[in-house]
Amino acid sequence: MSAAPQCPLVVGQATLFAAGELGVVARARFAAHLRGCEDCAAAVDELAAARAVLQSLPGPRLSAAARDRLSAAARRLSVEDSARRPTAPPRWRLAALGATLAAAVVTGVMFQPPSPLPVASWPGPRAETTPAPDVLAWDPPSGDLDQVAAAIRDLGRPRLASSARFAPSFSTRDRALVEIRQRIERIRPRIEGLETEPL
Amino acid sequence: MTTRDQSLVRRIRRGDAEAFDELVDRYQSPLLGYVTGMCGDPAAAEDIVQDLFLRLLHGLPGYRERGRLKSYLFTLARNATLDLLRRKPHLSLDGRSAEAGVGERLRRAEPVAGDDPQRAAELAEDRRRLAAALARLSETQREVILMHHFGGLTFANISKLTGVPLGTALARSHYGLRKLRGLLARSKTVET
Repeated sequence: MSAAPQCPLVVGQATLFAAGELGVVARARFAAHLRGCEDCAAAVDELAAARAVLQSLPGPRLSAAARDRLSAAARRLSVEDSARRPTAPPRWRLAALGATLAAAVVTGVMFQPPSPLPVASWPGPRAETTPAPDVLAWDPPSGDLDQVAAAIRDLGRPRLASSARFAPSFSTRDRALVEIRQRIERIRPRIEGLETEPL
Repeated sequence: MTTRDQSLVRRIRRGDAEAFDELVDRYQSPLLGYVTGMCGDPAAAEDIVQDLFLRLLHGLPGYRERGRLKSYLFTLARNATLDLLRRKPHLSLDGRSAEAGVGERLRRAEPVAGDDPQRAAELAEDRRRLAAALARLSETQREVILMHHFGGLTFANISKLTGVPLGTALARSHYGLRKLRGLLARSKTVET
């Protein structure tokens, strides 16, 4: 080892320079400095030689047994994961489901009964597709029954039944309920207005 | 995280076991070089690195892709190594002389150089000499040198990982390397 160097750049800049971790500008500046500084030039040479010794040796590797254990663990976990992961439905099934839902919606909108529907004949939601209580809690007001019936007709009566029949999943049913609820909200002013009108 | 690491992590998350093998290939040498150099016991180092990879494998679903994977792995390796050295202080290289069997223990970790026995013997000798020289550095100097040379970590990363200012990390590397080179030169002179 040489005597203690005097240049203040020897420790930081020389180490970063030898390691190739200086930016472009700093590197060019230090390279210019090296041409006139023996301390730094000697330090860079020494560090480069030490690095060369370290890099000449190949790094150690795990034993074959350890590699096998790791590999087996990864494969075991992979199998467990695939068993846990729900299988995604094939695309054709999704497409068919989408088409069915679309058809159900169109059917509900286009094929409405031509005559006013008596309130008493409305079968109500099917038992197995009982919607959320706040939807059913709405009590149709008494008043002009024809107008109430017309309002309910606007609701798109067959929607829930057909949607639920073709696509009995909860999410589909919930979507249908949300739609019905939105329609109820839309006609609510008309129904509430009936109560104030003289019969 | 590098693009390569990101890709490997995503494949492992999807259950691709071969991606995990690739990740082990990529990081086994840096990690094993660092841990072996720090604790001086190849068997204990292999246990630590193996356990580290298993923890990574099982922890990947919750792993957030922030920062470099290599830094994350070195943080785990460093914590595990320091923990081992606290539990088994006799493994620490500090306070031992290089001639007191440290090089002997490290030598067991050396790789075999293909089918060339002469080259293998040379490598073994170089590694023994290097191990003996490394063992005579302070633990802090050795840590920075191992992380930088075996791990390929930048000094900025080493500074963050070890919690010391950048200047301190640079000084440790600088003086450690100079001392290492002096020790290696002296050991060669003595043997010839």
